[in-house]
Amino acid sequence: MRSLKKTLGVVLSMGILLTGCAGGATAAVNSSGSESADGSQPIEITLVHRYLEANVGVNSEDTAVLQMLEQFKKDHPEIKVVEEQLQSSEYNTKAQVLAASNSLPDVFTVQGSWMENFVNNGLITPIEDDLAKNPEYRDGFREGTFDVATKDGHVYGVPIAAGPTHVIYYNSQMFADVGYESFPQTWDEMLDAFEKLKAKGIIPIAMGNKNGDPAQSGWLAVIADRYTGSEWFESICEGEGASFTDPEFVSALKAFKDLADKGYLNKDLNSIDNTTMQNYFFEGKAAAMIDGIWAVTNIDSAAPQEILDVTKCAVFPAVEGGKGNPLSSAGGAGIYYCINSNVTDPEKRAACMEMLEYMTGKQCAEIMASVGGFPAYDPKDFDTTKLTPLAKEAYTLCNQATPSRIYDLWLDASIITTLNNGLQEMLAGTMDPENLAEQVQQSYADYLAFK
Amino acid sequence: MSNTSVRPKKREFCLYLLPGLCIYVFTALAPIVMAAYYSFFAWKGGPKKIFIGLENYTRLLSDEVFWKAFGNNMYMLLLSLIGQVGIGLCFALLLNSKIIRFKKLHRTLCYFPSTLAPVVVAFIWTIMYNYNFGLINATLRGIGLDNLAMPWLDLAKPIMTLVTIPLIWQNIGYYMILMMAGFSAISPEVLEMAEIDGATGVKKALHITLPLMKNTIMVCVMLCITGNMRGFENVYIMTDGGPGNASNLVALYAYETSFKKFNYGYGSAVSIGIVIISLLIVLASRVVIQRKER
Repeated sequence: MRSLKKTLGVVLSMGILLTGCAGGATAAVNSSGSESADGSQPIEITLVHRYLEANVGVNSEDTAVLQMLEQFKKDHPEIKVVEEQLQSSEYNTKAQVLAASNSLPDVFTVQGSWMENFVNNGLITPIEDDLAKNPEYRDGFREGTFDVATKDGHVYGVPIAAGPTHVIYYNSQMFADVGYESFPQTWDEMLDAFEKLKAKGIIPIAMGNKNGDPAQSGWLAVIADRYTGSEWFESICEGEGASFTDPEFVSALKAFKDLADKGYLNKDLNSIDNTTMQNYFFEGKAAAMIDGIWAVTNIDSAAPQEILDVTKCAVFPAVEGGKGNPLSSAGGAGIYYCINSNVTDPEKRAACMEMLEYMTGKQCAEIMASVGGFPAYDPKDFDTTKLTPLAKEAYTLCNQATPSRIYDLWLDASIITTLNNGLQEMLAGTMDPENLAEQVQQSYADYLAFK
Repeated sequence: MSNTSVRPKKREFCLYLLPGLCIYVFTALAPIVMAAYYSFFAWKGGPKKIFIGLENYTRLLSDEVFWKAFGNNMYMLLLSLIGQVGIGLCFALLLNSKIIRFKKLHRTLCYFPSTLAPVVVAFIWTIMYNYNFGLINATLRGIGLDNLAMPWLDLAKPIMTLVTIPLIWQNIGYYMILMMAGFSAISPEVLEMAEIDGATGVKKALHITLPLMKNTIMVCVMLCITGNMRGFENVYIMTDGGPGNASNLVALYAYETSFKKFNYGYGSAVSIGIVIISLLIVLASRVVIQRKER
């Protein structure tokens, strides 16, 4: 009896101490989503998204979307918008918990890689019929931007931005000093330029890969595309036979590892974040860095003038014998606004669609483009006079580039996590490209089997 | 007992316990039971769940990452036992001896890191480890040891030691205070007797103080074990388990599985796995201690 009591005591005390982790998966959040307007009240839309007031003027997407949301509130006082803004990583966690407990708000953002799961669980409603009522709006989007949100012929979301995740921002002065007037046009020339920069004690190209995404979405997606071409990845996405152990993909991994092994990347790439990486570039410690198109706004506002004046944009050059299009950059729409499948009242749906048109349509696109973003909706001829030289250059570059698929928007999260972790280890020198390819293939095979 | 008259009745006892019990059931017991339930499903979030029996658990048994993370936990536990409990004990012994002056100042300074939130400690140390402007590398460069300056948190091999150091630094004070409380429970006569018998310094500590403090030390060891099994914050901030999985911990892995891979079913199985393993470790250590007592 005594020992039983003791055991019980231990069990209980362990329980208290472990609540933090064991309870994690089940802790439900009951906030927005449960509130609804009763019949006589004006329409109320609950909205949770990943755009922050604090990022207005820092990030082009936040600036445009939030400005247009304000406009919508002003133009439609009869519709009440209950809004919650969350930082993107917090948003991801919260949205997943809300989804798990089936208490999502009326309108929310969904990233491409979640789409299949959300559709399969019936959490979001198809909107192709609603879009058909407003063809001018629907047809204004750039080609292919609805692809990730389209499943079995149904459209489930409205894209917001479509910019590449890979833009090389480089210090043209530093490259000119080693004999390159513009960014090198072939892979070998690029390695040569990097070697010369390294000899001068400058980090040739900086990476901030602490959270694991950049190496994959900003770097590998493009390096791999240069080697494999887009068909290979499309075959991966459709499960049509391509494999991560294919020699082209392994070559891409080797080329990537080569950059790290030769010391062309900053040594602390796995322990610094994006902000620190940008600081290396701003301080003149690094000659180049890779970031998404959305970074333009921040570079314009945070970079010292003498650095800003010589900053130019490029993408990775072609590799010898590679199958990819040397002008492509990983891009396309990644984040979508989706409507909860429990929004069935036609009046409310119309109100939601109206709000989305404000937040993603022509006016929003013009604002976004004018501050250096790359909207999914094509603003055509917008006022470019307000654009900074860097924003103009980045915009032109993106307009020319054919988007190749972004890995983490198209692949299941379990594969991406394996790939991200593996890339960190490969760049740290503790894993071979072949091993990494095998691990990713294993997790891909697991996913296909489960599917 | 002579004062039975002030003893409340059984019913009152239960009433007093009720609020605490309710909170406990809601915040601890219920989530664990729920997690145990979910661990039998393939569940990727949303209303759709598929019952798959013990499949998640068989997968857990052969999950390399989980066992690597568990190994990391054990390594961290070993370092923490030596570092936190061991150094804490040494500090307490020193503070109780006659060698140290300004005892209050030392006590305050030693305890200070324990008052900081783990997140703050992790951030401080992340900056200290920074390759370009971290304190450690700046010191090394300052004394001319440039080639020893490393991108510390990028080193896959010693990463577990590097992330455990802040944890030790933070918790020494906590265990020190517990030990000092243990000291004060020892009656001064015993120590005086020992001194009269000629035991001084180390001898007194080894033969008199330590045996009398055994229970306190065991509580510290137990707290250290359970604390390590839920180690999460400082690694999450400093490396997020990286590079790759080099500094992954079981709790971090459970979080990652549920909230990054969105695999709630398997994530719950991982959590339950942690509960079971932790219970086994605690029970094992109790058995060892009790056997020694006999």
